[in-house]
Amino acid sequence: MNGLTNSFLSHLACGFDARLTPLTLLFELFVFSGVAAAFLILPKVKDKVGQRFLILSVGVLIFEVFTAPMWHNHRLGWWAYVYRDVSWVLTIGWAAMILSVVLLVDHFLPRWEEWHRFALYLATLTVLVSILEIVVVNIGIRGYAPEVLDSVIGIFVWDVPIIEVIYYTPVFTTLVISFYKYWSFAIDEQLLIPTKRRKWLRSFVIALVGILLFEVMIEPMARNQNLLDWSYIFHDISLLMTGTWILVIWLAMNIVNKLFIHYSIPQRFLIALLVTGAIALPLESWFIINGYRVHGESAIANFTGFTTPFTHVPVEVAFAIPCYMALVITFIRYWETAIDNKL
Amino acid sequence: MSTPIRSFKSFAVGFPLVFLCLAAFTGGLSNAFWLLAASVVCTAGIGLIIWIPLSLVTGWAALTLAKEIANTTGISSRDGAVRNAAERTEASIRQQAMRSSSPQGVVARTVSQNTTSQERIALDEYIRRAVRLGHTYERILTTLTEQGWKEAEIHQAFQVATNH
Repeated sequence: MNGLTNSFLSHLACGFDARLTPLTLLFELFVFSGVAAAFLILPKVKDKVGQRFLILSVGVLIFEVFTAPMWHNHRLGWWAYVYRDVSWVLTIGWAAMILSVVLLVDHFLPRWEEWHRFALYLATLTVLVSILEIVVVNIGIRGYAPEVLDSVIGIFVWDVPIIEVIYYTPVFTTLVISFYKYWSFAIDEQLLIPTKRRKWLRSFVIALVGILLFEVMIEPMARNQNLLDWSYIFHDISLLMTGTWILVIWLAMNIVNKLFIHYSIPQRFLIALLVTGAIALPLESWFIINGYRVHGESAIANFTGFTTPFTHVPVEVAFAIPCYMALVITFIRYWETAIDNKL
Repeated sequence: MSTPIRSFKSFAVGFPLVFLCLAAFTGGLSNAFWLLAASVVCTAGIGLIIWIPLSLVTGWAALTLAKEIANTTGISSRDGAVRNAAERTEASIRQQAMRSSSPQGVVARTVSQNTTSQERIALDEYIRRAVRLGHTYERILTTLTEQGWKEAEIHQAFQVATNH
């Protein structure tokens, strides 16, 4: 085993306080009861709950892996982690809560338009997640990276930066619910209208909204610097860099959906993921190598030390790109499909 | 093929692919091995819930791609042969419509020029499923014209779907 591997091992889940406390044990029992209750109640309102739960858990896990450097999740027990301090206990807890809200709102308000119901999911979940966030922070599970604390406005309610939680939660739940809803088209084998006339401007606006909201949220993970002054639109979010992502994703999505219109949802998703990833990786590497994108200390601490061949950027960057793209692609495609099909 | 066998096949193809990708990104087989091993060991084996589904999805994607290539290059399986036969029937219905000197024939020729084969497959599939679900021609027509499809191509695809 070489030095690099030793350094990698010391960075993994072995390297933080995973010891269970009575309060965190109680919290875990609460989560397991919640998941069990969801599995008892939800099959009465919707079929294929197992598959839906799995898809939502994947969406939440992708988000948690991607944003891992922004916060830490400690004291959940040595068996509660899937990668570093990303915990499956929190993943299934969030997934059960989000799925319950989505399925119950859909069940009780079937006549509402999709975007009305979506707004109700977000409002309900913002309240629930804020309460749970206060709980996990105060029992010593959740903590924030210094970069996140530096970027917050500074209004704390029981140690939680409440303004940021009220912003982060709808963004997180919008991405995760869109991910779930996109895949639920496949689960439900829903009849979706193939679109011949592509609405380029509309898909650009959807891509712009999704990517900007996500970029503002993950802003503390890296600094964008040395770009032209006029291009900064909010903190260090640059029109040049974010605009590049929007253009790449928007163009790739439209081309994939035009050329592969006859393919199934999973096939089109994978093609879009491969195409956007293949363009984004060298671009992101170029930004990093030339000093335009500098990762924060917490992100660097999360790196294992392995670098990609040719571009020599941390391997985590290569893994983060498909996570980012998976959430953004499903967000764009879900809203396009919902509008086209008047859901 | 039953689901467990299909899953095993996907995993058997997907895992080596994931491992090779990992090796390509981390700069060597030994690095990939240690990354994989450590991510599993340090999470008491729970890290496998990332690697196993990732291998399954990768395997499924690779097998689907291989199947598509086999079908398009003519090395097709029994499913492919059945599909090719159905495609030949559809093509003959379309060609008959295009050869006709009636106004419908003129429209069919125009449609054929303005629609890509991918779009035609997507349209056929939609109409076939809509018919199976009991949607009327009028309903299908209204829905599709709103999304940019021409009445003539909808009519033609509807004929293909109902002639099956």
